[in-house]
Amino acid sequence: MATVQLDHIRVDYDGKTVVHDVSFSVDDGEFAVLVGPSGSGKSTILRTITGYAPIDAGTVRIDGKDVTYAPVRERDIAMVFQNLALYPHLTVRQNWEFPLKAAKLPKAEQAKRVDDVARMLEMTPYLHRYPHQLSGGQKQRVAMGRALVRNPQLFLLDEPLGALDAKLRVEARSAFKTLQRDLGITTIYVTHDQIEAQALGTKIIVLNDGIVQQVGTPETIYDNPSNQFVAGLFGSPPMNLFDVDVSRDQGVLIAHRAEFSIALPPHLDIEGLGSGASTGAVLGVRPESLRLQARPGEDSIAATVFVVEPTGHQLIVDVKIQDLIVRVRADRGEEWIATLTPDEIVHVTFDRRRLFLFHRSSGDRVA
Amino acid sequence: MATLVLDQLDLTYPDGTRAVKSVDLTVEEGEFCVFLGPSGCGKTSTLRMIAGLEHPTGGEIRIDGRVINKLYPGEREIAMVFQHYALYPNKTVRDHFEMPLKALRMPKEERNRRIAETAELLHMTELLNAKPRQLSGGQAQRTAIGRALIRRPKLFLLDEPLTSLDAKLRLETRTALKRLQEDLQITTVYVTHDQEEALSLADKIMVMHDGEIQQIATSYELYANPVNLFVAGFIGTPPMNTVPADFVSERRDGIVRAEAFDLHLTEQAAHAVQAAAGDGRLVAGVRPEDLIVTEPGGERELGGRVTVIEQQGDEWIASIDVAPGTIWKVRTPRLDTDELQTGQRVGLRIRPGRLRLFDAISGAAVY
Amino acid sequence: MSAAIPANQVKHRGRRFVWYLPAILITAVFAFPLYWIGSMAFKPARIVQNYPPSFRFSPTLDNFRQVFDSTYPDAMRNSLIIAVGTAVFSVFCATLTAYGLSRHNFRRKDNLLFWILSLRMLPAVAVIVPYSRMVRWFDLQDTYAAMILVYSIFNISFSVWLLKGFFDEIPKEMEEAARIDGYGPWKVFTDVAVPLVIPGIATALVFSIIFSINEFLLAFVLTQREAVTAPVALTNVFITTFGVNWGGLSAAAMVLVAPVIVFAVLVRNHLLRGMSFGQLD
Repeated sequence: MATVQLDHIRVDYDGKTVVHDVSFSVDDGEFAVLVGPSGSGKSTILRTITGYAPIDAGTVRIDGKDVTYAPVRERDIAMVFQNLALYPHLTVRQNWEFPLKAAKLPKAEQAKRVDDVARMLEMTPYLHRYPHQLSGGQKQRVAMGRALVRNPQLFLLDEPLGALDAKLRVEARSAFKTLQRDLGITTIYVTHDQIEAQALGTKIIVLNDGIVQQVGTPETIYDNPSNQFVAGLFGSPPMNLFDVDVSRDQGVLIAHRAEFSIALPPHLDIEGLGSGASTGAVLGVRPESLRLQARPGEDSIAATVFVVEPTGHQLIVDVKIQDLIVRVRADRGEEWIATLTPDEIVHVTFDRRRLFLFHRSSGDRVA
Repeated sequence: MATLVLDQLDLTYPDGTRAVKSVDLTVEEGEFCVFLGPSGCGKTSTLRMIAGLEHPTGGEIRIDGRVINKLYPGEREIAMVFQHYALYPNKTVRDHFEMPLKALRMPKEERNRRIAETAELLHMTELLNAKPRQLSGGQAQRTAIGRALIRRPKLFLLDEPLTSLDAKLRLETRTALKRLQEDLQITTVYVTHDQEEALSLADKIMVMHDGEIQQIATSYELYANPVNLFVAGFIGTPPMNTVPADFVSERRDGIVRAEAFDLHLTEQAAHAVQAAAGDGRLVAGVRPEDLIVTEPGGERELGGRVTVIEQQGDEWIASIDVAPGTIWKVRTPRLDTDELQTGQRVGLRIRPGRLRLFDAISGAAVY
Repeated sequence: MSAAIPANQVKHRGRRFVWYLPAILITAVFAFPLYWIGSMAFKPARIVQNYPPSFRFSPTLDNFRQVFDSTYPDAMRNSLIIAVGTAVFSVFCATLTAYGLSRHNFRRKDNLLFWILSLRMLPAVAVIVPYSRMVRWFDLQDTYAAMILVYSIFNISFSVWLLKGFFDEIPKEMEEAARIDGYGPWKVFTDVAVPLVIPGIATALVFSIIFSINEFLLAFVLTQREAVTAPVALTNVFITTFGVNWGGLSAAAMVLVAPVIVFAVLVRNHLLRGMSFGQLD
C-alpha cells in the first residue's frame, strides 16, 4: 500500500505546456479520480506517475520516495488501459501469469495468485478461455486481474470502463468499487465521465487545460463547486448557468436579466458592491433545485414547455422563459409533468437556498 | 408524414437463423417510435427491412396503406441516419445535402433553396463548404440528419445515431433531435440499445429480445409496469432489483417468502397472484427509488449491510446485501440521509404499491 | 535550460546514437549499388574500369550523350507506352473485379481469390513458351498490344488483391445511404465507392508502372524491333560482341531509374496508405 504525492508538476509537449503546476496527494488506500474533458491533461498526469511521460518540473513521490526519474519497472505500479491490451493468443490464465513470469515467481506461487484473483473476480470458470471467447465485461475483468495478480502497491486505471456499454459500466463500477475497498489498495483512476467520478471516488481531482480546478470529496465537488467550470461539469443534466447583472437594492442583492429577476439569499454576497452599483456575474442553479407547477405561485416565473424527456426514475423538462432555455428535473411521481406537451405554459420556482453565484470574469464562486 | 404498419414481419437468414419473428407494429402519423433491445435482438434488422436494405422472408411493410416490400430503397420516400453517419470524406456538407435532391432530379434553384433552408434549421449555414474531417462530432451528426431530412421523407429512420458522440454532446443532441421531430411532426423510427435514450425520446417504445416483441408501450408505462422480467431488467439504471420468492397464502392477504425475508402483499396483489394460477413460484421486483432506508428491522424483514455507496449528484446509490449473494440497489436522496455508511446495517421499506411480481418460470408479470 | 537536463536524460541521448548505428550501416549496404551506378555514369570512359576504383574524378556527360545518340530513347518511349497502357487497362479491370469480389458473396469465392493471386506467383519463365505461342497465334508478335496484355495478366491479379482490401474498408453504410437517397448500383460505384479508394488506385497504378518498366524476361522474348523495351535495349545497345560499354550502360540505367524514383517520391503518401491497405490515417 502506498501514498502518492505530486508537487508542482509541469509537462511540456511540443513546446506547449499541457500540465501546469499540478500538486495533489493521494493517501494510503484512497480512491482518487482524475476527471476532466479530453485534453485536460488527466492522462498525462497519470503517465507521469507511471513514468511514461517525461516531467519538465516538479517531483513525484511514491511512499515519500522521489521517483520522478525512476524507470517504470522500479515503481511497483499496475495499470489498466482503456483498450484493455489483452494478449489475444494467450488464455486468461496465461494473460495473468505473464507479469508473474516477468517477476520470476515460482510456479506454485504463480498458480496460487492466479487462482486467488480468479476467485475474487469470479472468473474461475473462464481461466482456460481466450479473450475473443469472453464478453465485454469479462474482458474488462481480465484486464483488472492482470494488474491485480502482481499485488502492486499502487493501482492506476485510464478509462478502464470506456469500452463497455452503459449498462455493463454501471455494474462493473460498483463491483470495482467494492473490490478496491476490500483490498484497500491505493488507486488513481482517470475518466472524463463525471458520473463515474462521483460514483467511484473518495477524492476527486477536477482538471481543465492542465490546471487543477478543485480537489475534494464527491459531496464537496457537487455541493460546493469552487468555480463555474466545476459547477458546469458535474450533474446530469449539468447545472443551469445564466449571465446576470447583480445589483444591491436596500441591502439585498438582486440578480437580474431580461427574462427574470431574483432576490439572492444572504449567503451570496459580493463584498464591496455598493448600493445602486451593479456587476456582471453568473447565476447557477441545478435542475433539481427548480420546481414546476401547473399554477402560478409566489415568486414563480411563467415559462413554456420546450421538450419533455422521461429517463425512467425522473423527468428532464426543458422550459423556455422567453428565449432562455432552463432545464428542470422532476421526479417520476409527478405524473402530470410526464404528459406535458411542447408549448404548454408552466410556472417555475427557484429553490433560493440552493443557488450559486460566480464572478463573470474569473469564474470563481461567490461564497 | 405517414403511417407505418408492420404486419407479421419475418426475417430468416439463409443459414436458418430467424432474426425477426412475426413483428406487428403500427406507428401513427407524426409519432416517434423507438426500437429498443440488446444487440442481436432484431431491432436493426427490422429497421433495415423498413429501409429496403434487407428483404423480409414473410409479412408486409405498409406506408400509408401501400405495401412497399418490393420497392427499392430509393423509391420508398424514406430517409435514414446511420450510426457512423456514412459521410463521404471527399464531399462537402453542401454536396451531402444536394445528393438526395439530385437523385430526385430537382431543378437547381429549388435545390439551393432547400439547402439554405435545411442549413438554417440545423444551424449549419456557416459550414456548408466544410468537409467531414473539418466537422466536430455534433456537426457531422447534424450533416447526416440534414441529408436525411432535406428530401422531406415520409418516414425518418435512425440507427443508433448518438452512439459515436461523447456523453455530454449525446445529451444535448438528444434534446435537439426530439425538439426537431416535434417541430417537423415527421413519423420517426429510431433504433437504440440505450434504454435511457429510448425513454427520453419516444412516444412509443417497442422492446425486442431474440427477434420477438416483448412490449410496446409509452416510456412511462414501460418503466412503471414492465410486462416481464426481461423488460424489468433492461429498463432503468440500475435495473429493477429482483429476488426469487414463493407465494404463501395467509388469511385475507398473503406474503411472498424469499430466502432471507418475507414481503407482505396487498389484498389486490394477493388476488392477482391467486388469479394467475401459477405454482406460486414468483420473482419479486422493486425499483431502486421505490426502496426507503429505515432502521434495521427484525428477523425475516427486508434489510442488510451496505456494501458500497455511489454518489449520483444529489442522490446516493447504495448497494445492500439483502440475502447471501443478492445485492439490491437503493436510490436515496443524499441530503436526507446524512448518516449512511459503508458496512452499516439498515432496514428497507417498499413504497406502497411499488412491488412487482413475476412468474418465476415464464417471467411474465403477475402484478 | 540545458543545464537543468537530468543526468539520466543525457545518457539516453548517447544511447540513442548507438541504436542508430546498425541502421546506418544497413542503409549504406543497400545504397551503395545506387551510388556506384550513379558515379559510373559520370566517369570518363578511360577510368571506368580502373582497379582499385577511382573515387575522385572530374564528372563528364559523355556517357549520357552516347545514350541519347543511340536507339535507346526509342526503347524508353516503348517502355513508357507499354507501362502506361498496362497500368490503365489492368487497374480499370481490377477496380471492377475487386468491387464485385468485395460486395458479393458466392460459393467458392475463396478459391477464386486464391486462383487470382496465384497468377501473380507464377514465375515468368514457366509460362513464357505458351505466351509466345499464343502471341504468335493472334498475330501480335512485337506489338504494344501483346506486351500490354501479357503484363496485365500479372498486374490485374495484384491490383485486384490490393483494391479489394480498400473496398472492404469502406463502411457499407456509405453505400446504403446513397441507395436510400435514390442512387442506382452503377452510380453508387462511380460516385461513392471509387472516390473513396483513390489512394488504392494510385498505388495500383504505381506498382503496375514500376513492374512494367523493370520487367526484362518477357519483353526479351516477346519483342524484336518495334516494341523493344528499355531493359532489353539496355542489353542490346551497350552489351555488344565488342565488349561492355560500362559508362553508357550506367548512364542508361540512370535515365531509366530516375523518372521512376521521382514519380514514387511524388506519390509516396498515397503509396504508404496503399501498402497498408488503407489502415494508415
